[in-house]
Amino acid sequence: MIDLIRILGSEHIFSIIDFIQKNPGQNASSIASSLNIHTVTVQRALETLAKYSFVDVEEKRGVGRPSRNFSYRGGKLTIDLNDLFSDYDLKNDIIRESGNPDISFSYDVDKETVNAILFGGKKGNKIKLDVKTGRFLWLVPPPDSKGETIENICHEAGVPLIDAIRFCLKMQELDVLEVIR
Amino acid sequence: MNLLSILLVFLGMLILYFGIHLVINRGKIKFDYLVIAILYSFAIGVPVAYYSGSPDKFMPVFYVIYYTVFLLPFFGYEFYKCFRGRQTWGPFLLIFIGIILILLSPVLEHPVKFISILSGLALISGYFFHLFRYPHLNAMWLADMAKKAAENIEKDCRYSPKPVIVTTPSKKTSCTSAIGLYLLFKKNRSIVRMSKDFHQKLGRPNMEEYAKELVKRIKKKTEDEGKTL
Repeated sequence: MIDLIRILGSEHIFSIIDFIQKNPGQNASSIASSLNIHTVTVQRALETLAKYSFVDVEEKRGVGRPSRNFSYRGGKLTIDLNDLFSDYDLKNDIIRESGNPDISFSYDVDKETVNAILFGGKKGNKIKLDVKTGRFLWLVPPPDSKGETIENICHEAGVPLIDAIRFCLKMQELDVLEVIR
Repeated sequence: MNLLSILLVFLGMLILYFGIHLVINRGKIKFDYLVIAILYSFAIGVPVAYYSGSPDKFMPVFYVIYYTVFLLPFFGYEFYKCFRGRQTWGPFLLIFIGIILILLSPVLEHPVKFISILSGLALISGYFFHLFRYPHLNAMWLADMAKKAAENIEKDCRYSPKPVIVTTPSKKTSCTSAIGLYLLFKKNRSIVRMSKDFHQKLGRPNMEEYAKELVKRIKKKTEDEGKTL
């Protein structure tokens, strides 16, 4: 939900919604060039709106890469603040690596970031991380250590706290991290 | 040059090796490193001694290919350490120019040949002096220290392939490694990476405590000797 709230608070959201209301079935690139906004900004906004079903997506395949065309659907947004802030309490929880032997990491010592998490060796599944979450994971203490609070690691990695908490919960499900409450 | 001369070169290098390492490693010689160093010294020393003794049998193409194959990993690693660890280039240049000067000896005539060999040995000695000043850059010393650091650490803990970050700042950046262990000292923190086998060999110590202890011991050693790291 936090991603949707962020998108709704962004500078260009009204012009993007207004444009697809008047011109349904357009892809992000054409919307971006019409509104003179960066394509990535439009793409991110529309994909988030599509995730919460405020926008319909139609995938067209033809010559070249498939095109994702967006049309406005609209709808009602209900925000449960209790649910939204429930995870915030986890900021003082201590985290450390789980030490799962099936998990390895692809990392860059110079940039001090984890590029990807590898499940079951090099031929197994791979989760690529962006720079911020990669940096966060890099700073997570090793297994059997005293651990570190999510807030402290966030502060050092420069990652928004709520994003880090969500990331930790996801990593806990995948047995990459353990959260000690 | 006959077999006896080759054996003499080998013996001389062994004595030199023991002499240097007894000083540089402060008396600590580990068997696995010793085997590697003896074989490597033999492979490097014998051809140059042979061709210096018998210049008429000198084969330039073979000589260049042989030394490229044998020396490239060593120089590559030294270059990597300077590049990654952002160390000073002085020691790398000392060993590089020193070895090149010695390797040039088969193609040089008599008065220049000895000057070249002597200059090469002097430069290589400079490199060994640097290793003596900063013992953590010496793989054999580091391996011994790594083993000692694990003695009083909690054992039978889990392993992670991700490096451990120790928030100990360093005045000088440097990069060093031993078999299964890699250390990078940065300005604001130190990074300790170990292989699974190495972790197993040490009795599976607690990685965080172990990394802290190892960095602390290295810092203490250099501080005790009045050097900045």
